[in-house]
Amino acid sequence: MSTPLSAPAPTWREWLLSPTPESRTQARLGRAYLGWRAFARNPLAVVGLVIVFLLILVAIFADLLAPFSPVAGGDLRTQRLLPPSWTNLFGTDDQARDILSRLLHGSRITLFVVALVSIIATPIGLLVGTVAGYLGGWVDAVLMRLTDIFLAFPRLILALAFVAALGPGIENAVIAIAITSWPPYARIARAETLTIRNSDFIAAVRLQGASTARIIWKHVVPLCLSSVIVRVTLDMAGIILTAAGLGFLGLGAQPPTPEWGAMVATGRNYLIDYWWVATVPGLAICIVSLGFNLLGDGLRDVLDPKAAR
Amino acid sequence: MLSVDRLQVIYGTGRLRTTAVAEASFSVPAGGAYGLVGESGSGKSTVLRAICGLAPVSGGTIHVDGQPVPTPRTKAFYRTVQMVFQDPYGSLHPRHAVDQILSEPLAIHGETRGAEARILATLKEVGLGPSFRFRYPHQLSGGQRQRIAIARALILRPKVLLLDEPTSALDASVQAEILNLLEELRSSLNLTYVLVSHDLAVVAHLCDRLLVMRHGAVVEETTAAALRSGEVQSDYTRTLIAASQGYTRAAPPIG
Amino acid sequence: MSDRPLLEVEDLHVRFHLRTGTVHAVRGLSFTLGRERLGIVGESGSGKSQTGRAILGLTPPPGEVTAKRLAFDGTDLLSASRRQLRTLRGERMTMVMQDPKYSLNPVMTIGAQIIEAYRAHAKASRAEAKDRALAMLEAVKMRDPARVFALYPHEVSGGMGQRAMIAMMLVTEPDLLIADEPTSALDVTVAIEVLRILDELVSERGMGLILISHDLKLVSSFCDRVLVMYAGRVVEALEARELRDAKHPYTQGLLDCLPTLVGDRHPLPTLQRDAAWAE
Repeated sequence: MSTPLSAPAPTWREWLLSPTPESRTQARLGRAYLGWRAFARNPLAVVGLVIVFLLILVAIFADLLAPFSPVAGGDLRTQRLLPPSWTNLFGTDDQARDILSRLLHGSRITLFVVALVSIIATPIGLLVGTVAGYLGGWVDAVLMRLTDIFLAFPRLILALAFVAALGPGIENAVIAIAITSWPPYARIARAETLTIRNSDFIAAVRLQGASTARIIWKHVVPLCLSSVIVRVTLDMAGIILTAAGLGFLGLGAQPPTPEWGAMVATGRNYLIDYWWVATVPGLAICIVSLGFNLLGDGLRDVLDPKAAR
Repeated sequence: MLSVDRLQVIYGTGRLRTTAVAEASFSVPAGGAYGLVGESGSGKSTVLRAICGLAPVSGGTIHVDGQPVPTPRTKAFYRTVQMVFQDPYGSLHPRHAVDQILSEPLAIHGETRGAEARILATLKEVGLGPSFRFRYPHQLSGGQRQRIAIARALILRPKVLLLDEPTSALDASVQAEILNLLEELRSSLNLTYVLVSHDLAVVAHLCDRLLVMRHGAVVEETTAAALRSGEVQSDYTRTLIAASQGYTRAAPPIG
Repeated sequence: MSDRPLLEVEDLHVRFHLRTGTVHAVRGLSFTLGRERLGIVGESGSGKSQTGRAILGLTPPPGEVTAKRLAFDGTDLLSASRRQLRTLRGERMTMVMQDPKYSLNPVMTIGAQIIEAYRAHAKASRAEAKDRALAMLEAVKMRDPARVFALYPHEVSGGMGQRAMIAMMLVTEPDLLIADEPTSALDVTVAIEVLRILDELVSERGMGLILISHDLKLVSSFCDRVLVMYAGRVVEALEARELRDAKHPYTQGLLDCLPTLVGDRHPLPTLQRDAAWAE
């Protein structure tokens, strides 16, 4: 059917970068590919992505990767506080539990907290910010004062209050963190909305008879998304530290759950002679926070046109 | 088709009260083209915005197709009256591909059957092929973006097109193409135009009659023929005509 | 006055080395300028603005400027030290840009900016500098120079802002003024006023002027000579009064495609771009 002189089928790259895409999917994938290339140019950003990716992998495959049980200890007489060795790569803690296994299972909790907080706080922040920014007037005033109220709560204190009222546990910690996380997202979304509210393309879609809800959802939110995503990613490091802090205070996950912050807390008592008990989970917290920070920085360089060089 | 009677647009209250349009009246027959000419701050764009509901009407009446315009404007109104904006770089959503920009008005009005065919047909009407369908605005030139903006305005088959300085931001050669396109569309689709511009030549080219405005007030109503022959009544219009001829150098200083 | 030309440009190239490739904005531009008015006309992307900036050494990175010769009053601009360039720029060659909203410092009063421009190049006391600034504001026909002196850029209209910009750029009595679309952001009647002021000042001081614009009609009525640029090259160079007899199809096309009050052609002739012009 094709003549011998017809052009060869395009490679994947050519297809993605084609200046005349033939379908919406092709256009979208092309843009995603270009975004990925811009992102990948920044080696630190890739490091951050790798760390986060590893965290996710470890959380998913913790059962397979962990050599021992994270909660059941060995012999309390002979296997407590063993230093790192080939059997226990990171040693054992004061309950004779393998620290490596606890670390791997603890990643699930870390990921759980980060994911849940993001999923709860981001939509709230986006909704409040875009509605306040777009509608203006008294709606804006009321919503922003509401935001200010929540912004005024110090995260850890609010978590303490929650836990005091509802009892300790990781779910309450997540709620507490989420409630104090959304105000900055609302502010960012509102700022972006204010810049685009009076632009011609919004006026044009108003002139087509679009409802306010449609305008906000389909036209305003996509433009706010980049800034908010960047902020959320950068916040994740802080969220992990807060959850660890709560765990450290005994207010997050309860024993014997292998939450990293709680592990640091118990290891505190043995820091001098048995440094690995506190240091290893502490390092894990550091590395994962760093990973999210680097990822957030990389995303900002790609998504935020104002920061572009 | 469109008649504006003693339109007033006033912004703000008390000390900050500004009268953007003092009292503008004109009417355009179906299939006609009417121009609004003036410098910045004359209120010409505000008149357009008041017609389509983007600016508040503080006094006077507007009638489209014999009916007074509803406040707030209804979907039926938007099916009859559409607008093309000045800045091709700001009037298209940066994250939406052309296909989405053109299908949005159809989706809003529930006319999704046969949408693809209509999109392709409208693209053809504005002189763009189907290869433009999935491009994003940043991949288009200024002239192409303005064509998309025109296509977006036309896809609902309106009767009246409000044009707010549609070619001011374009290069001269592209301006000529867009002006030709607008002229052709007006006759083939029997549209009624209201064109706002600071450029007398552009208005004289596309429109039959025009209104000259200054600082929100109407200076005079005249015709394109009068502009060409210079038989206008107001001195201000005469200054505008003279200015449009270009700069004349003063005689070189003596000595 | 020597008969050395004020500005010598030979084979000017401006390249931008971007990640996606190299953009060749100006490709081999050559001209000389005496104490006369030269107009550079082109559409967007023709390289006209980049030419002006390259002459003043204001090409933004990642731009690269190369030329066989780029000299101002005999001084080679390409090999000049930063210090030499700083003395030349602002004192002997200056630039007026398009929109005073963006080219004037928004947090300094107009008077302060003019004084700053003056004292950067001349040893003068504050009082002397203030007198000079007020004199310049009068020269650009500001109705109340003392009042405008104390105003901020956002408090004046576009035309006044542009006149303030001209005052600032001419206070050091430069030999060369490059005006990059000085009237494009102004209403037509205001633009004519501003041009008249520019006309008088340039004639009085015997300066060289390069007027960069997309408006062929304007440039041809204001300047002595015109260079028409397309895709980084000069496609035609002619005397302004001979514009009607332009030979290159691009120039003719550009002249033809404008709607005018004089003729009435339907449809308007459009420019048929020939790929050969970009060679």
